[in-house]
Formats: sequence, C-alpha cells, structure tokens
Amino acid sequence: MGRGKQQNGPTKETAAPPNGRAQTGTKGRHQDGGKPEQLGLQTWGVFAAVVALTLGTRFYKLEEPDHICWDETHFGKMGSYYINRTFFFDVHPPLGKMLIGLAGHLTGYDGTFPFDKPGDKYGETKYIGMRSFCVCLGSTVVPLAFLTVWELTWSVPAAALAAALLLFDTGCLTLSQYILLDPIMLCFIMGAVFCQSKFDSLRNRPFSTCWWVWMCGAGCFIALAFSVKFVGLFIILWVGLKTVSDLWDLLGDLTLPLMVIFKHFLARALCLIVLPAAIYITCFAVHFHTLYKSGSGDGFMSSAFQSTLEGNKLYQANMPEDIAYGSTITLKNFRPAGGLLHSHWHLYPEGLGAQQQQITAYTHKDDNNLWIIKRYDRNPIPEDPLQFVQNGDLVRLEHVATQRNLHTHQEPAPITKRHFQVTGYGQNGTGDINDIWKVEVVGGAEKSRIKTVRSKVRFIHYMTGCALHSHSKTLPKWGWEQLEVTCNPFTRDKNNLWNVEDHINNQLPNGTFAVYQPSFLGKLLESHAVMVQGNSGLKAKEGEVTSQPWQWPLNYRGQRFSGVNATDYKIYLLGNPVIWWGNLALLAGTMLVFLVEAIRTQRGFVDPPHLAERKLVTLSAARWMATGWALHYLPFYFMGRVLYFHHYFPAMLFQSMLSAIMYDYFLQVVKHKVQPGVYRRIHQWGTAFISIILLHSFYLFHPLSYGMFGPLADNQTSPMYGLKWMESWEI
Amino acid sequence: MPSHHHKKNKDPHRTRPSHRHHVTPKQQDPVERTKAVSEGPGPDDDSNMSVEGEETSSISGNGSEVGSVGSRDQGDGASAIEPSLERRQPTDVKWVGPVRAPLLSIKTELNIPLLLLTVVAMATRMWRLEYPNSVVFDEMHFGRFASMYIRKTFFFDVHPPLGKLIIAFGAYLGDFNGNFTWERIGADYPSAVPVWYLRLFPALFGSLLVPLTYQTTVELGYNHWTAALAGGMVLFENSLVTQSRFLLIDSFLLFFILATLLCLLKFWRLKHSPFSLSWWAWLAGTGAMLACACSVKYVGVFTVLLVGGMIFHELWNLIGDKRLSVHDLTSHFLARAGLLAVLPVVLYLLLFHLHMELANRSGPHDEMMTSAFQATLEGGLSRITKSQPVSIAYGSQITLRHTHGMFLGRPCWLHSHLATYPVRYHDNRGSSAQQQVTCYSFKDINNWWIVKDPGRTTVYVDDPPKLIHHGDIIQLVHGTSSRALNSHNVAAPLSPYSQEVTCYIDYNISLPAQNLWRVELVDGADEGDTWKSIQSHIRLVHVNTSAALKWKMLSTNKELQQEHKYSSSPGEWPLMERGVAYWLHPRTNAQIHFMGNPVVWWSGVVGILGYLALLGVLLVRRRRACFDMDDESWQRYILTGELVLGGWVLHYVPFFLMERTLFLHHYLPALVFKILLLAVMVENIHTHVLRWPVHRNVFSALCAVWVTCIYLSYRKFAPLTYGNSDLSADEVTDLKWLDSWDLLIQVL
Repeated sequence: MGRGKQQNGPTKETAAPPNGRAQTGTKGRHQDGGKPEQLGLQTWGVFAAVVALTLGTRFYKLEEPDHICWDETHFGKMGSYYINRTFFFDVHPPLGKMLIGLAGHLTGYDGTFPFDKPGDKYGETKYIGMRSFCVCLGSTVVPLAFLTVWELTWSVPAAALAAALLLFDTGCLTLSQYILLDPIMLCFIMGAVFCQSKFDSLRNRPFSTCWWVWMCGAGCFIALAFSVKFVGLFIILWVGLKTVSDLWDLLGDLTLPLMVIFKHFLARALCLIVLPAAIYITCFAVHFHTLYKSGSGDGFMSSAFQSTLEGNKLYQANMPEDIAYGSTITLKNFRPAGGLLHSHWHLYPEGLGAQQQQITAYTHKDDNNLWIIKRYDRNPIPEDPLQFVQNGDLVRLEHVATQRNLHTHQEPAPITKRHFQVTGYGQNGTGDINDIWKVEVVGGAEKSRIKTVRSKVRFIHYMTGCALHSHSKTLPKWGWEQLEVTCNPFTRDKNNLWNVEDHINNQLPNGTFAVYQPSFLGKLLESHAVMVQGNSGLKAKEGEVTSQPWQWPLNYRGQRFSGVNATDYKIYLLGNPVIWWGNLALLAGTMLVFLVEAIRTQRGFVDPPHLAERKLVTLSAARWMATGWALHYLPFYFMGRVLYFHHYFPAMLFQSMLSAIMYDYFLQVVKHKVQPGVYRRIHQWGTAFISIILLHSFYLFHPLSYGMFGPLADNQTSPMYGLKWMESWEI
Repeated sequence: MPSHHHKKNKDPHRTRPSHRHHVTPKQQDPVERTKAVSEGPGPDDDSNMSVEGEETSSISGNGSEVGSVGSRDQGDGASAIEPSLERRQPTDVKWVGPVRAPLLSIKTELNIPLLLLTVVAMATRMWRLEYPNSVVFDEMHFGRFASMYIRKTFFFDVHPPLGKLIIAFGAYLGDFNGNFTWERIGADYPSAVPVWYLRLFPALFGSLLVPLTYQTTVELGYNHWTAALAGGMVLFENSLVTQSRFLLIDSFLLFFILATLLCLLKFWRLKHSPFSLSWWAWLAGTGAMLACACSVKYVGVFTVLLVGGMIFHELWNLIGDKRLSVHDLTSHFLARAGLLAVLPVVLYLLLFHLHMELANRSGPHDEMMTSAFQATLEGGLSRITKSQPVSIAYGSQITLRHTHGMFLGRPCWLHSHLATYPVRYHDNRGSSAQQQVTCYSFKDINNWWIVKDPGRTTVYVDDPPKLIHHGDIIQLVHGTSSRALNSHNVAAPLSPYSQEVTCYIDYNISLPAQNLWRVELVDGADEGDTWKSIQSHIRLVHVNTSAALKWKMLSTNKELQQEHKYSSSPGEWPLMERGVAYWLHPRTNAQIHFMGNPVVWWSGVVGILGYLALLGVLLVRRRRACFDMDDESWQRYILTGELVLGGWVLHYVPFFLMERTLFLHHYLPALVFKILLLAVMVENIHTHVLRWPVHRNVFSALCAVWVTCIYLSYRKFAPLTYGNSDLSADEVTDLKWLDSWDLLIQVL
C-alpha cells in the first residue's frame, strides 16, 4: 500500500524547497523518491466496489415512478423543444437541456409527449433513455469524489469515506434519478474539482503534457457547469481562487524569472478563460442553430430576434409596412427583454394613484396586447381616406379589448414614484385631453412614415411632456407580476423607445420587407439580458413551499418529488439525516481545528516534522474544500430569487469531501498520539462503525428515494413509521 | 517654503516609532517622547523616505536623504491651501512631556489651521441658521419627536433615542413648549418655536466634524497638510453642510463615528504602555463613542463591525507576540471586551432608560408595543387594565394579540369580519367559503372574542366565575358576528400545509362544526395555572386535528417596494446621480437641495480606485522583493486601508442588501471615509509614487488647482445648500450638471 511509503517520502524534501513555496500543500509528492504507487491493487479494488455500488444503487428502480416527477415537467418539456426545434425561453443556459434532448433523441423519444404537469403517466413514451442519461452523469459524482480525495490526501480510508457519504445519501440518489439539470451540473462540478486537484499535484512538472491536459480539463468542466446552470459560476470562482493563489505562490518564488511567471499566467488565461468562454459560446451557437422554429419563447425576445425564427410572423415579414390611422398594432418596448404594451380589465388598487385600468408590459403574446392607432381629435369612421401616421403626429392609442385609451396624468407611478402613472381611461374610445401622445421617430425625417419593426418610436405625452416608458421592474400580485409601464419625465431615457411588432390593416396590402437580422453576438447578449430579468423575476408562487438557506445544512425540510396522499407513489428529496448531521458536526469540528491550528501557529508551536507535513497536506486540502462549500452555499443568502432545497447539493459535495478529509486528519493526529496497536484498533473499529451506521441509515431511509406507498409517517403501517425525526419533514 | 516648519510638523509622528527599534517598549514611553520633542528630527527621521532605485530595498533606509528631503519640502510648500499655515505648531497634548515639566505649569499650544478650520466650519454651518423659517424635509419627524419629549409623551421610532434626546435638549434650552404640530414639510414656524435652538446642536456637531477629521488624519500618521486637506474637504462639502443645518440626526451620527475612530487610533498609539491610565481612558472613550453612534442610528452597527474587526486583528497580532504570557493576553482580551462590548451595551440601555423616563405618558404609538409594555404607560392601557379582571373565565370578552414578532413585526389582533373566503383560491385549491379570520393591526370592535364553555349554550359569566386552566377546552365566539372560531381539514389560503381558520357559518352542509380549542399556556409552569390577561402567552390547539392555530397576516402590501420621489439606490450614490429636494420657497426658485460637492464626490471615487491600484502594484512588487516603501510607511498604508477603506465598504455595501427606501444621505458616513482616504492618497502619491522633484512639483500644483476647484464648486452650489438666493430658471438649469439631478423650477 502506498500510504506507508509516502509518509516517509516527502519529509526528506521539506527542507529543500525555497521559502514561500514550502507552505503550499501537496507539492513534492511526485518527485521520484516520494512518489506513491499511482493506485495500488487494493485501492483499485475499493474503487471498483465504489463504482459497482454506485451503479447498482442509482440504476435500481430507475423506471419508477412511471409518471412525471417534480421539475421533469420543465426539463423534459424543454428536451422535447430541442427535438422539435421550437424556440423557448428559460432562465438557465442551454447545455443541460440540450443534452437531455439529445439523450432523448438517441434513445428513441420523439418529442411528442406534452410534459404537462407532475403526476402525468408516461405511458408508451420512452422516458427511460433520458433518465438513464441523467443518472449516468449523476453517478460519476461518487467515483470522482473518491479519486479527488485520494488525490488530495493519498489516504484510502478518506477517499472511501468521501465516496460512501455520497453513495449512501438518499438526497444525492434521488436527485440523480430524474430528468433534471442537477445531476448533469453536479457531474461537471465534480469533474472540475477532480481535474483541478490532478493539476495541482502536477505543479512540479509545469508545461508537461499531463499538466496541460488536466488544466484544459478543469477549464472544460467549469465551462460545462456554467452552461448548465448559472450556479456553475461558483465553481468558476473556486477554480479562479485556486489559480490566483497558485500564481501568487509562483510570484513569490524568486528563483523563477518573470518571463516564466508570465508564461504560467498566459497558460492559465488560455485554458481557464479563453477555452471556457469558447465552449460556453459554442453551446449558445448550437442552441440558436437547433431552435430555428417559432415557439413559446418568442414574446420574450425583441422583434429583430423573432424575425430569425421560422413560423413567426416577422420571419420574412408579411404585413403592411407603413402604419396608417386605424391600424391595429402591438408595441414592443425596445430593449433587451422588453415586453409588449398590454392592458386588461383590472384596475390599479386603491392608494396607488388613480383607480383606473392597469397598463403593463407583458412578455407573452396575447390579444390584450393589441392597440388601435387613432387621430387625436376624432374616432375613426369607415369612410375616412387612408392616411399614414407621420413623424410628429398627435395620436391616441385605444386598447382593442377594453376600448380604453392610453392615458397618463400627474400621479406617481405605482412602483417608480418619480415617474407618472399610465392608465387606461375613457369609454368606447372616448377619453380626455390626457390621452394625446406625440409620435417621435428616432432619426426620422420630419413627416416620415412609421415603419413596422424598423422604426424606433417614442411616445411623448402631449400635456406633461413625459415619455412612455417600461423597464424590468415587475408589479406585485395585483398587476399579475407583469412589467411596470410608466411615463418618464426624462424623455431621453433609452428605455422610452418602442417599435411596432405586429401590424394589421385590411386597407393596406401586405408586403414583405427585410427586417434587420441580429448578429450572433447580438442574439447572445439579448438572451442573457432576458435570462437575467427572468432569474430576478422568479418569485415564489402563491402557496408554494419555499425554503431558506439556513434550513439546508440541517436537512430541515425536503422537497416533494411525487405524491402527497396515502394512495400516491411518494418520492421525497431528503438527505440521509445521519450523513447530513454528521457532515454538519464535522464542519463545526473543522472550524474548530482551523482555529486551534491558526492560534498554535500564531503562538509559534511546532509539530514534529512528519506530523507537520501530514497536517499541512490535509489542512490545505480541507481549506480548499471548506472554501468550495462556502462559495456554493453562502451566496444564496444574498439572492433575491426563490430558493429550493436542491440548491444545496453542490455545497453538499464539498461538505462530504471535507468530512472525509477531516476524518483522515483525526486519524493522523490519533496515530501520532497513541501506540500503533491501539491506533490500528481505533482505525478498524472506526471503519466498522461508520460502515454500519451508513449502511443502516441508508436501509432505513431508502424508501424516500426508491418510492413508497402508504400513509404518512405518523401512521404505524407507513414504511417510514418512526423515522420522522424532524417535525418539518413532510413524510 | 521654510524648512523649519516642515520639521516641526513632521517630527512627532515620524520619529517616535523609529526610536522604538532601539528602546525597549517598557521604558520607552516618557523619556523618549521628551527626547523626540527636544531633538526635533533625529537621525532616523528619514527612515520613512521613499527609496530610490529598486534593488537597494530594505537595507537602504538612508540611501538618498538629501534629495528626498529637499524635494518634499518643495512639494509640501506648493500644495498649500492657506498661506497662514506657516507659524503653526503641532497640538498633540501628549507631547508635552509630563516628566520634566514643573509642577503646576500650563503649556498651551495652538494649532492655528485647526482653529481656523473649526471657526470657518462653525461659520458655514451656523450662518443664518433660522433660515428658512419653515419645516424642512425630515425635520417634520425629528421635530415631532422633540415636541413629544417636551410633552413627555411616549412615541415609537425606528431610530434609537440619543439623537432625538440631544435635539430635545436644544428645544429645552430654547424654552420650546412643544405646541407645534409638524404636519407637513414647508409649513412655516410660528414665533413660539425656537428654530435656532432646535437647529443648534446638529450644526454644532456638524462643525466639530471638521476638526475631528483633521485630528483623525493626523492620528493615522499623516502630515498636517494632509490633515488640513481632509478637514477642508469636509468643510466645503455641501452635503455635510446641508445635513448639519437642520433638525436632523445625521451629523450626530457622523460625529460619533469619527470620534470612535479617533479614540481608537489614540488608543493604539499607546500600545507600548498598555494598562496605563490614558490607555484605559482612550479605550473607554472608544467604547463610549461607539455606544453613542449606535444610539443615534442603527447604522452605527457598521461602525461596531469595523471596530470589532480592527480589534480582533489587533488581538490576533498580540497572540503572535510571544513575549506576552497567556495571562497578559487574557487581561488584554478582557479589557477590550469590557470596555468595547459591555460598556457600550450598558450605555445604550441607560439611554433607553432615559428615553422611557422622559417619555412616560401614553401616546399615539402605543399600539406598536406589546400589551404588557402599554400597561406601564401613564394613561395608556394601564388605565384600562386597572379595572379589568386579571384572570380569564368562561364568558369573558377578550382580544387576542399575536405575540410572535413582538419586537420586529407589526402587532396584530385576531380579527374577523363579515366577509367570507373565496370559494376557490388562485391556485385552484378549494376553500370552505366561510367567514374570514385575519390578524389585524388596529384595535377595533371586530377584534373582540367571547370565551365560551362548549358544554353550555349561554355565554354569561358565572358567579363565581369559572376560571380557565391550562388544557381546558373552549370555544371562541366572535363578538360582533356571534360565530365560533373554527378550523378544519381544508388548507389555509396562503400556506397550504396549515389548516384554514374560519368563523363557522352554519350552512347546513356536510362540514361538521370543528370549533373546539384547547388552551395551552406556553409559560404556564411559572405563572400558575389560570389564564391571565396580558401576562399569559397561550397557544390554542384545535381539538379535532391537533393543529396549532397559526397566524398569518393576509396582507399583500409587504411585497410592494415603494419608492419615494427622491429615493435613490446605493448604486447611484458614489457618483451622486440624484439628490433630495429638501425645501422650496413658496414663490421663487430659491430651494434647498441635498447634494454633495461634485468635485469632492467624484474625486473620492478616484481616491478609492487609486488606493486599490497602488495596493495591487505594491503587493506584487513586494512579492518580488521590491520594497518601494519602508516598513513603517507600508504598515501605515495597510492600516489606512483596513480602517478607512474598510470603513467605507462597511458603511456602504450593506445598503445594497436593505429593502427599505434609501436616500442619498444614507451615504454620508461612507462619504466621510471616502474623503479621508482621498486626502491620504494625495500624500501617498506625493511621497511614494512620484520619484522626481519635477513630478512632485507638478503634482502639487495640480493639487492646488484641484483644491481651488473644490472651493469654487462649493461656492457654486452654495445657493442650493443655503437656499438663500432667488435663482432664475436659467441659473437652476446651469446648476444641473447631470440630467438626473432633479432640481426644481417653479412654473410661475
């Protein structure tokens, strides 16, 4: 076994490295004398067992339940969109859903299943392929944890413990088994961590082939993780921090000339910035290329973007080009993620300006977005000669469905108090003088006509001089969480621009005209603006169970995947409490150890050399794992969007590896303190004890993942009877 | 410029620490100080000079004295702000050596620039203090609180009491009788309101901010030019002037924050004579000022974080000092804990006690507090409670107040009214369509409930009354609609996993009456067994389903983040994109607009970026063993960063996480830190970045121009600060440097 050997090896070298470089973790191990056997036969055995167990637990009962569970309804649906090539909008980047779609396509799913709501039976649909794909990626987490911890500590017990903690965790198991983005993302995160630790252990062979390969690997995985969900940002930060600290060490090594350091820097910039950026952009290129048909996501995008989608009205636009009086139009706010000017029968609530009809901006297309453009002084009559609207004209806009005019007055807007409130006013198209707006075409000559899509128009209120405005602030529930529309006294604001998107006028001939097509870069930026707005707009739905970050490490409350009642097939996402609480205790222990070690260092205590070397390695690894945990957990406290329990799982990966490393640390300290015989006994008993409680707790809680029928846990006949250890668990 | 003055103003802070290398810490104190004063710049004086050439590094402290000294003299001279600075002397009292001084001698030193700054500050802050003679902006609130103190009426406010107490003291001095309603902004003050006295203390504290800034800069270890620059920027900062001239509490806050900083620095200055009398005094001063800052506004908590962080850092260094025994460390720790944690808490509580003593009569805000609290107010609930029975019996008429969130949430009472729940909720869950039960935050008749014994049909009180005990089963009947409080296995409107609570209407349909509740006294053990009014906290447990009654406010306005017309977001503050209109003359364009001196605000941003950039460069170069600064300057540079830049960050960044309405004046504490950093950066660039005399001269000249610009821009925006001149519409437009500034123009 390699362990005995490598403890003697590095000690000889400790004196050798120049100051500054000696402090950092795992170096030196690969130098010839101290190099451990790569992975001994016994280690391979343990690893094989881990892989076999992982596959066994993950694939067991994969096809159950044969109905849609939880968010499968979203991601399955989006996979179908890729198969059908119809454009949609989602707050996450495209890679995960693209992979799901691809997996479905390759395994014979044809994209026809509607994925309406959780609980719908799949019937004949071939959903197993997509689940298998997700579970494959989700399973890699366990062996990767084994390899990573092995790489960091060269200790088989630690590596095996890390793998076991993830292997027997019901939460990880449940989250891997369904058509979700999380197994995909967890896999990429672990991949990045593994590549990075491999790369770190090669620091004595810079610019070797292996060195390049592992660094590129880390770069690829962070890009992939970020292309699945934006939470991947935290793994990018983690790798970034590690890289910065690495470069800082290099910089402090005065034996290295600046040129070499610069080369190091360039290599990292190439592999960890340029390469990931290229991968990320490629994902989007594939995304746009695949989804070329019009679909449910059109309304979120600008008119120009829509004109690239086959089947959209604006694709090779076929509608009258110039706007005339009496035309029915829709107006799109000209900004990324702008909405369509919208109204409905509901009034502004009491206390927020005049109680008149709401005007909002809405990103979905419906009939309440239609407006008729009228002369300012009279209602249209059929005998009117056709007259085009010109730059500088005074007009009124009448909402088609409710026959109220677009109106504003000097009352503060509901949210943006410094702007004026915009309302729907009047009856059957007759209102008052505050309904009059002046049309201004940006860059248009005087008396020039207004073109569909292509003209950027400002609507200036005739009486107050403010401009019709919309932005990304959403109205509360009374406004159906649509976007606020106001009248902005600062008329040059860039969000005051609108363009005509749809145009219907029977008196005018339809013509085709070329709409300016956005470049790839333009599309990319626009999608991001829309995603950012979508993410910040994710509020809890009424009655939905949301969770708070403080609940997560406590395993305070899980997430229902399927089934509520006694007769349903129930799946409940909940961590194995033994593992989670153990992790939590070890986390507290880690903090204590860090504190004690820091004080010891500060007070100048010195450990005997072999223990010091060991501690250095373990604590450095532990520090990076703790950093990873904090990076994947703490930012959620500052997020405004709605949060769910499963957001904790990336952090949980780091926490489990941290626990394993700390277990190794304690073993080392014990080994140093006691007789070898006693140590061996402690080690054996410890291993046995941990194995038994892990296995037993997994056995107790496995119905959470593999599904259960029957009443809730307080009933004696329930499979979970007596296991409702916390009042808050809904089992 | 004569060089003697250079020596004078430099010696105290430069020479002393360098002597430290030769003198052991214990004996170093008094002897060495006198030596420093008598000798002037000793041979080590130049250890802080920048080192020319890269490779000479740490050994070359004396490498290039002549050139540096000469060039710096010229530099300092050229960056003069006021020519009268020449004859001044350092003010540091502690440099007057106590050891050899004769008994009972008085040795005074006058720092003329400091004095001058103070006088000018007083002038700018107090000039025409009673103008405008009407309510300006938040004077409405703070004035009202002052009136309430004068009339001894209890009130509730989001801020702690110290600021308002000081204002009330001013009002007391001016014989204010409290009879003014403070109804709206812009209302004229009657002659009975002593406006000058009311505004006196804010203006006084605001003026003292200027010498404090000066002194703090000096204590940070920078020279008197820098200190004068920092003081001058605070002096001519329009926003600070505006905020000090009215009945507002921000100037107290700023004063106490800076005073905390100053005390802390003074305390550190004495780190080589720990546990001496002055050491204790400055430590206690830090704690006291900290408590004052927190008792003015809760923003002071950020100062606590800053001081806490710095003290922690200091303790950490002490731990590393192996000469200190564990016993020493413990006493260090205990001293800091006692004076920086316990003392402030005690002071804070004392101030609240004072507040309660002064305002002890029932007032309009009673309902915000718990019933038990109200019972202590004269003429408040105590008037009612005196005549009300203590124990609850069957047949009692009661109101039930929700105790959760007693201190944070809004209070509310269990309430019902004749409206019913909708048949279906938005998410299509069914409801029972019975009468709504809500939690309502005002006292009204619909809050009254009658406790009924389920076994009987009448609700009269027995004689003797049958008291209710822990575990008894009761029904609650709503007073006005006579319906019983009910719950059943139908999900609640907002939280689907709780049960709906209704008032049961007998629809004659399948839902059986499930209106029995068991009383569980939460603190039953120590209060005896009967349910008492006010003192007992109870939990009502539904008998049929054992679900505890959960209260949830059915209000929607919480999620609506309202904006004020002049509110702004923290992102807009550093560049001052919006001000706040404080006051507008009823007829003309004369107006007071809260906004800063744009030159100061914008260059402050440059100062921050400059600090970070220089820090980055220096760190990288030090890592490659190029030591551009000597050790002492480097320590000072780092300390400045931790304290001043850290202060800026701590007083600014948390606002991004706040969900309340924010205004530009919330940035003022951060602004003061920003100004300090800016002044300090000027000296650092002059001394450590520029190597050539020519560069230094040019830089000094540029600084002089820049300082002039600060003054000119102060003059330019003075009409908006003082509101004294009647501007024409064009003049207002001319002042509108940014489109986003909402200066007001009257349409006549």
